[in-house]
Amino acid sequence: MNDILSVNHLSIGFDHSYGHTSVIDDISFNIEKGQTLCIVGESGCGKSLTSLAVMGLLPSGGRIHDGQIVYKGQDISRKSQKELSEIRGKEISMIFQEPMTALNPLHSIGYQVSEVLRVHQKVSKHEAKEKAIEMLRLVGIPSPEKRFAQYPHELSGGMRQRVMIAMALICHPGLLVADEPTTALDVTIQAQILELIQNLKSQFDMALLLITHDLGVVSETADKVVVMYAGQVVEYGDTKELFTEPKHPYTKGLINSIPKMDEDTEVLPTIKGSVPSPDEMPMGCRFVTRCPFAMEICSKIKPPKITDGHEVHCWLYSSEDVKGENPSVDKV
Amino acid sequence: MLIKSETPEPEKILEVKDLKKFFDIKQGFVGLGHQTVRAVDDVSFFVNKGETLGIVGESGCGKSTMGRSILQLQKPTDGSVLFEGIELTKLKNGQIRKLRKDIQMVFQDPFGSLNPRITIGTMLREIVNTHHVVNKTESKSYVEELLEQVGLKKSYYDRYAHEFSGGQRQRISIARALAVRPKLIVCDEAVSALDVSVQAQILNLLQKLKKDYELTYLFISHDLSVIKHVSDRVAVMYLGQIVELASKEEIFEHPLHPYLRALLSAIPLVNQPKRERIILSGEVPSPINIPEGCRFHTRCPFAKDLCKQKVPAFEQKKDGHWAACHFA
Repeated sequence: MNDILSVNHLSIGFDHSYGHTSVIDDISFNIEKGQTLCIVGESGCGKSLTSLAVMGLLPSGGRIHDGQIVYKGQDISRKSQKELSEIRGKEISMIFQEPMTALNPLHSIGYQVSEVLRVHQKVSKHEAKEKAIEMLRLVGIPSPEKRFAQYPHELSGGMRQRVMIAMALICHPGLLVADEPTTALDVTIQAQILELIQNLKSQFDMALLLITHDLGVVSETADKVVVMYAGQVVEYGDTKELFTEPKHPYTKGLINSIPKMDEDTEVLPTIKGSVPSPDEMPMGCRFVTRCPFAMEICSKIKPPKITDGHEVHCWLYSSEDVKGENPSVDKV
Repeated sequence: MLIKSETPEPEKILEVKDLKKFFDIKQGFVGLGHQTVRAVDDVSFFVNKGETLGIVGESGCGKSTMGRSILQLQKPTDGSVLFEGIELTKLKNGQIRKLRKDIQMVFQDPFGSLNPRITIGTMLREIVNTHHVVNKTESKSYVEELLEQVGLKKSYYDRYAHEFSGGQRQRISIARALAVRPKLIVCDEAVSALDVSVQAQILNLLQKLKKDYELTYLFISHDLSVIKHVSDRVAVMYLGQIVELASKEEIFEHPLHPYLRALLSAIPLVNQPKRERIILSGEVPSPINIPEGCRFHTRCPFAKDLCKQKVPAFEQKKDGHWAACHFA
């Protein structure tokens, strides 16, 4: 058992005055030590919520009502906020999409980076400063001694993201959760930041849970990938295998709808329609309203998990004779 | 008639010459610390009738400011913008308003650019009536037809903007641009806020409308793969200037400028073997303090002494392939 994090049958919902909405429905995945796992999906698929659940930072009203989140052998999904604050920042750290809103504008970046150390490791102020400068240097901030006293607004977007990374990694966590860390950045800066994260990851022997909507980023950084749609896992497995042989109609549709750099297509293949809202989720497979291969059973019963090489949740691959007809899968 | 006959040879619909847009910032004591942001700094290009010219560049390169300056939404500091031979920069506000019927714009944020207080039917009809596109009695059916053209239902006429998803809102923005039967549409990051599956739907819609209505697009985006998909010719901008311009086939197969080569190598791709990556050091310099010589030299991995001293001319390196680099 080399798993640093395993998420088992996690379900998350929101309670409100008129009832309950299920947002994340029975998702499972695991990350081994030093591995990179990407969760990919479109807006509203629940990928960010999953990452927040791992951090114990669900927004108000959100509640884990089933499943476990096991970090290094202990279930952290039922821990109190006080217990979690021992883990957050020290064992599991997080970086966000918008470094400007994640940093405190009233404190210098040096203060914010060294604060993490002073809280978790009880080091002296002087020692914290030294280590913080060292960390800022490591994330590629030029002349960190000078930058130490600067405020977030004095830095560019790329530099701010570097500061966020320095804050997240200063206690050498076992797992870094990165929620769209490069989405707000330009491609050339994105390339710099992704390279930096990869380097630090191997240097610190740290696992990475990367949340992104960009399939290109997934393909180039992940060991394993979870494809989510409307709060459910549709496909999960080794990145290379999943991208060369995608099985779920959604994954295929997603890959096909990106304009390609190496070929010309007149008309892009699309996925018809849009994601249903949480209140009108179909029974059974949630992709059924947009799936070109939907069968009768798909709208009635939740698709089974089929593991053939990698995991796919789809009736098309079921060995059970679904209503006598066997649609040709190759056409997808 | 909506559909016109085809023109045999390319005819320039838009010609931009030496366009400049500077912004003054006053700082310090009674504005003594006077500085200038050179957002668009001497840009020239043309767009042929019926083609799509893609403008690509990173944030802050001036591509959006350029789009706005062409439409005279922001008065250019200097230079000329010729639309079908008419000099837009010299026109008075009233005259420009009439010409806006021919040039329309689609913006990035479909949440910020639609009026939340009126139904989309009312909004579209108002535009149609203001510009006298059709007879007032026919305007409702015209708008309904328009909604169907952009892939929405007629029955959406009475709905408000907040009732629609991001992709549908972008369809409404496109309907609004289309309502006055324009000749040129400036799309400013029109698909950037959308998820890929929806982005593909909107890109297909834009391509279809281009054929149906014989439109010309000036398509501004930061996304090279989107630009490659929609464009006939592509211009690459860096720090307020065009650094490379050529046909789509030429520019993506034989990129000349180190900046474009770096951009191309930096995009993460699906199912591609690891490429040799040109990682650019540092960040885009501020448009207040533009570097001497070639403005890309501070980040260029191939920069030589010459680049620091002499500004490279934007010249034709091959047939129809323009670039601003000493060593391209």
